[in-house]
Amino acid sequence: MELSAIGKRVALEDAYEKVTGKLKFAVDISLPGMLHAKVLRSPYAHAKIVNIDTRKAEALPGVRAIITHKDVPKEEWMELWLNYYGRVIDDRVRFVGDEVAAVAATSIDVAEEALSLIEVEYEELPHVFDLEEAMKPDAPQVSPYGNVREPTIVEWGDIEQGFKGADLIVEHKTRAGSQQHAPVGLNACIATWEGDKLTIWTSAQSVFEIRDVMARYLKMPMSKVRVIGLPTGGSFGLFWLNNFHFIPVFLARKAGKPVKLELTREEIFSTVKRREICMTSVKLGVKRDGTFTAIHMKHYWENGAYGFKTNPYETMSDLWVRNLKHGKFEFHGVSTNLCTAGCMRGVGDLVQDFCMEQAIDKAAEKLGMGPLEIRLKNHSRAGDPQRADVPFYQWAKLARPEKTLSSSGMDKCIKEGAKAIGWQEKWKGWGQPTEVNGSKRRAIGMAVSSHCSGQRYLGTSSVTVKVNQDGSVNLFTGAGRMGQGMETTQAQIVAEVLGVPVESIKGTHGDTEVCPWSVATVASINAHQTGVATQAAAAEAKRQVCELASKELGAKPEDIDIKKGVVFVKGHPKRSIPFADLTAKIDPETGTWPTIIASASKSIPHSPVARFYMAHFAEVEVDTDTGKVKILRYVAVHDSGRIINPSICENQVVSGVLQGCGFALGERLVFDENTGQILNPNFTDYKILKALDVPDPEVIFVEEIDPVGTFGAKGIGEGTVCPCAAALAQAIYNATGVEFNAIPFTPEIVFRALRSGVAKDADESRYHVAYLN
Amino acid sequence: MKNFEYLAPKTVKDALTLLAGDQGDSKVIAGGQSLLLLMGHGLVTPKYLIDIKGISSLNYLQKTQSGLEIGSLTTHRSVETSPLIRNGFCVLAQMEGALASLETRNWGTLGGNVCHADPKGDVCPVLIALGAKVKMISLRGERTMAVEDFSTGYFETALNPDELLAEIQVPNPAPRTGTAYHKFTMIEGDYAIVSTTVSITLDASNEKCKDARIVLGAVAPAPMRAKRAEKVLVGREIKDSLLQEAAQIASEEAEPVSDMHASDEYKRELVKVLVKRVGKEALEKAGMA
Repeated sequence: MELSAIGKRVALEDAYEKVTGKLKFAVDISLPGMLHAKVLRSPYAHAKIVNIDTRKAEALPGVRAIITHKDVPKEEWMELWLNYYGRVIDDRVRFVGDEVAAVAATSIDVAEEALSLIEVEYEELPHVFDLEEAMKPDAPQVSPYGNVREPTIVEWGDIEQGFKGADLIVEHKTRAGSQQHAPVGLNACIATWEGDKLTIWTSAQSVFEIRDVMARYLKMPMSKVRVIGLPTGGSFGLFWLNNFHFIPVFLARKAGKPVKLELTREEIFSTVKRREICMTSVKLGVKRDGTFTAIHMKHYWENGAYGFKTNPYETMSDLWVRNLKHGKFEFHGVSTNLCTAGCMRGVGDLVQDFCMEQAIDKAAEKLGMGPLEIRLKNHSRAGDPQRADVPFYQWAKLARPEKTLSSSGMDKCIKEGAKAIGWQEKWKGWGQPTEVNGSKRRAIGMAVSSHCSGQRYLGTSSVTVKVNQDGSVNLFTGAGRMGQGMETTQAQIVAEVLGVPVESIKGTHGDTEVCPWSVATVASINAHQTGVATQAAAAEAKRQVCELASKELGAKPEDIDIKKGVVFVKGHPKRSIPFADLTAKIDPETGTWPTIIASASKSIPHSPVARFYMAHFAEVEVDTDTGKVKILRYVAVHDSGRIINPSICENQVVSGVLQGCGFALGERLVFDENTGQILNPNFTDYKILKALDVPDPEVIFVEEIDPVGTFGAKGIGEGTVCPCAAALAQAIYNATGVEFNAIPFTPEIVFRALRSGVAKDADESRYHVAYLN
Repeated sequence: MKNFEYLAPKTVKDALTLLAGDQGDSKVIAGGQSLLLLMGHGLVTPKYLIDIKGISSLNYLQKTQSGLEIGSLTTHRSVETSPLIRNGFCVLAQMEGALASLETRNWGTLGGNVCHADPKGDVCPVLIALGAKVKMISLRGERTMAVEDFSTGYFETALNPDELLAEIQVPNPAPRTGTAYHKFTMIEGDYAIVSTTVSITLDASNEKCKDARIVLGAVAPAPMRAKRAEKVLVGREIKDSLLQEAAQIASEEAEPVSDMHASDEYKRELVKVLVKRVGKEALEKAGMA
């Protein structure tokens, strides 16, 4: 297929605004008469509010409205993907930083002063921070519904049977600490009421989710809630509907004025959302030839105070099914008195993959196989059954067709990556370095992973394409702009289908009053799934243009095509008219220009289902004197189907590698052991890797054209973080002979393990302890 | 951030007059790279903010017969890129190159960094190893003091409320002197978990150590010299085993405290490694000087 716009390095639609600092985020929005909000937060991990007195604060000049638990509905609100389930403000606080009251005032200073005048009487309650402690029956109960959720289970065959058929059974256990989304931008929400209509401005990746859930909770018609979704400065799952969004909404209604709530960096780090702390175990049955016979995975995570997830949205249960007749994957969500935990880039898969990959490595080493060989033997291939979303269909009581995998380039990912890193030359065997120079030991390691390409069950997106009389095109989707380049990718799809230059297309995205409904920008969805609707809308616009041209060119519409902005009769390129001339012609009958407006609602099929795959290869140098791990080379090979825009996709991979490696080597929220308070809610104490810390990853795409996704594209953004920790851990093991099974492995943790000869066991590694002593 | 009155004197005299007038209520700001963070968190709440950035007479870097004279408003970037530091003072470039980010180095000043007195700071340990002094001025007159004595504790200095740090004086190094700096960080350009500066002067035979300074950063309330470790080196031929011995002693002299990034125990281990490595580098430089 000859393509004109797809596969091209088209510059980001908003690149100019971005580099000149003109792009408007929610924090930049200011409305006439707008008030500023500040939130009073709990100093206790768990307490009952016995009394709250706001009279002094109300008397402060400049204060316009105060809300407490008495001013918000008694009902709880539920985030669409269970990242939050609770009241907006409750008479019980469940973590340090939980909302107690909020003030709207004429300035931030006044609002802050008013907070100090609110008198609250608390009755402290027993708290629980630790995942395993919280599961015990006598633990303090955080959620009104208990701490422990019913597990989600994906199961087939009979694992006992499977383990009986194995020549080798390995068991492995891992843990991971809590990572912050840590975007550069700040969360903000501006709300205003005009009569009974609510308008919200907020930077968001899930615009229609915010509108739909907000309208349902406020018992308002969706037509009267307008959410204007603005770009985020990075998001990674943080800029969804969060509890703080409701606060300016209620304050604005009470004050009768627009209210803006802009969170501080500290609030973003310690009160909104974070990646969960988890514990994973894998039991893997393997035949002597390396074939998997059974996998039993148990994954436990804490949801913090208001997270309510019972499903980690994983694809691990689908990654190794080629030979696998027996599998059981259990997922257990638990409540604790820590800041709410929820979805973050690579949700589920990153941490489960870490355990699975290490279990596979253990098996391979025992069988005398290399890491590539055992993976090449077992990874899923096109046509293999896919079951990860079975629990959703059960929960929704929907009939679920048998699902199979649409495509897999995993084989190529592994082979291409091995070639690029020089595997044959550098792989010296398990626990064997490639080079030792004094205290510095070098080695390579690798890991693979997968993630979902959208989710059919999330819904069907709609897209509208308008062609103007001058031939320019407007594109409307309800997708969120989170810096990933969706605006540009979707415009490239329209350009390809409609045969017009991509520069002639201008997108408007995520304004619920203007744009048709789209699935939120989650689960690496847009290129693969939303694009299908964009492609269909553009095809319908093309049909209308061809019909228009048919009179003009004297040919049947089906014999007409459009390329490079020219409408022509197929096989007769001279019988043509420039696109813009055609759309500018006044129709003698109506006396006006043609109206070309096309909409489509379309999604991917239920089956086959697409996953995207990756194999990452790392070369590291471990300084055994200090425990510091330096990444010398990093090769990331991705099968994301057809690459619509290589520059955008490379950026996704590079940023994911930095975030994934950062998590592996040092990123972690530190919680106070007595209060659960996050002690490093800033970029000084929360260390994220930057450009100088990792060499530019070498990014390779194996374009396994997917039969389902838009022009063969699959997702990319989320999965890029998934294999990093496992690849680095394997490389460190090869360099030093010490295996790390708890994320992160900071220099001190590595140093101590090297001194003692064994890594701290995952069981000893709890993440709510402030200091390492 | 709490409200404050912003004052921008154009001359040294105006600045000193302001400082003499509202003692204790004011804070001097130059590049603002450290102070604004503290003010943002409400940890420092001055009534008056005296911005001296516009006083151009405090922005210079010059070579004299006795050494370098650096005006307190000289930016980190100016120091880092100055050709004048190439002879004998290149450790300053080594230190500056690892200090925060280019953006910070473009704004932050040497004097501001010294006055901020962050025990994790990069500048003071290196200045101490080089035997640098600071010149302080006030309406009452001027005085000079070794940088070593200037940093008195955790974010504390010997500067009086009416004084302004005017100049940093770095003496020419003795012949056959080598100085090296390294900090251990979690990420590039970050605050030190531990920093070490070693300066070694060899005797005329180029064999034995005539003088040595070992300065440790981030392991005490202020940069500290590991004086017992220095003594191990002086008068002896420096071999790996001797550096090892000095490193061991330096790690015992250090007074680190645990924080969320590293335990005290680990910081002592890092001191051991760094003194050995940085000492070796200083020795090599001394041999070539």
